[in-house]
Amino acid sequence: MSSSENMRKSLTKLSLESTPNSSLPDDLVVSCLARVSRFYYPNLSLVSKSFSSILTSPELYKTRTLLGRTETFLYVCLRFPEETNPSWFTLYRKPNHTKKKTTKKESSGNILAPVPILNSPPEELSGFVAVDYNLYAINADIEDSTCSKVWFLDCRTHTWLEAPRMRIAQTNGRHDDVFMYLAGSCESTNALCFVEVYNTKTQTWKSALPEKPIFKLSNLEGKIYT
Amino acid sequence: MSSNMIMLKSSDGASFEIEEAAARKSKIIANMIEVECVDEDKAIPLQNVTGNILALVIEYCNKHIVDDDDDVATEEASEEEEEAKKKKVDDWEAEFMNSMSLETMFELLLAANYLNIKSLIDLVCQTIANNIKDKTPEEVRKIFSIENDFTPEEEEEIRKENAWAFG
Repeated sequence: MSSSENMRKSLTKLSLESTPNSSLPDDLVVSCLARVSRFYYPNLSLVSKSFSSILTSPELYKTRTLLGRTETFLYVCLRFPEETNPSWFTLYRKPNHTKKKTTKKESSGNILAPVPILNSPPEELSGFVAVDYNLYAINADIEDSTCSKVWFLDCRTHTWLEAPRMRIAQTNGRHDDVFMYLAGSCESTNALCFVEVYNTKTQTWKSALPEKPIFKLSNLEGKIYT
Repeated sequence: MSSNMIMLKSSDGASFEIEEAAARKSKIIANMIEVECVDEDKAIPLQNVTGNILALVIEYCNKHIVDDDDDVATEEASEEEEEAKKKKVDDWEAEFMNSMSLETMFELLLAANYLNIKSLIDLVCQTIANNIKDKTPEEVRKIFSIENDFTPEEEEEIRKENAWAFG
C-alpha cells in the first residue's frame, strides 16, 4: 500500500501540469450537481447553457430523489391589487458565497426571492397541493362546471402546465407520495362519493373506494401554502 | 488475510498487484472474475485508466476492503465503536480527497465510473459538489473545462431574474 501511496504522491503532481482537464459526461455532472443545495443553483446556472439545462432537468431531480437530497421549499403566492397575475416567491436562505461582497450587511439571512414564471394560467388559482416537485392548483369553481381544470406549477422549471381534467370539480386535497386525494365540496350531502384520486405518476383520475372514507381535509402537513 | 492476487495494467503500461477481494470493489472486475475472464498469469488491461489514477483507485479499494472485513468481524460492536469506526473511515476519505487536486478528482471520477465502483463515485461526486458550490461561474467553468456559451444579453437576463441571489 505504501508504494502505491508514494506513487500517487509523485504522479498526481505530474498530471496536474501535463494533462488537460478531462470533461465529465453529463450523467456524472448530474451526479455532482444533485449533491449541491438548490440555494446555489442560481449562481451555477450562469456557468453555461448545458449547466443551466441540467439544473432544470428531470434527470437531476430524479437523482436528487434517489440520493435522498430533496429539499423542501416554501412557495408564497401574493396578489397585488395593481397586478393581474399573482406573484410567486420562494423562501431562500442566502448561501455564503455572496459574503465577500456584502460585508456591510449580514449575508446569510432568508430572502423571499421572486420566482420568474413566464406563463400564467388564465384563471384564478386556489387550493394548492404540493406533490413532489409539482404544485397543483385545485380550482374551487364548483358552480359552473362539472369538470374542472387542474393546473400545476413545475417547481423545477417554474412553468405552469395543465394536468388532465377532473371529472368533478373539487375543493380540497391531500397527498400521499404519488396520489392526491380530492374530496368534493361539503355542499354535497354525499361528498365522500366524490372523492377522487389523482395518480401523479400516470396522470390519471380514479374514484376512491367509498369504503375508505378516511380523508381529513384540513391539515396537509405543512405542505400547502396559499 | 489470504486472498488471491490479481494484476491490473494501466493504459500507460504500469502494472499493479491487488488482492482479489479489493479488486472486487469494481463491479467490472468482479464480473470479469465471475465469468473467469481473468487469467492468473496475465494482467487485466484497463485502457481508460492511467497509472497514477489507478494507484489512487487501488489505495481506495485496499482501504475499504479492510474496513469491510472489520465490519464482519465485529458485528456485535457497540454503537460507540461503530461510530468511531465510521469516523475513522470518514477521516481517511477526507484526507484521501484532500490530497488531490480537482483535476485529479475528475480523472478519478471517470475511472471510478469506468470501473463501476459506486462508493468511490459517491465520494468523489460529493467532494466535487462541496468544492464547486461557492465558486464563481468562471471558476466552475475552469474546473469543468467548459466555455461560457451565453451571450452577454442572455447572461444579463439570468442575472436579472436572480438578482436577489447575486446582490
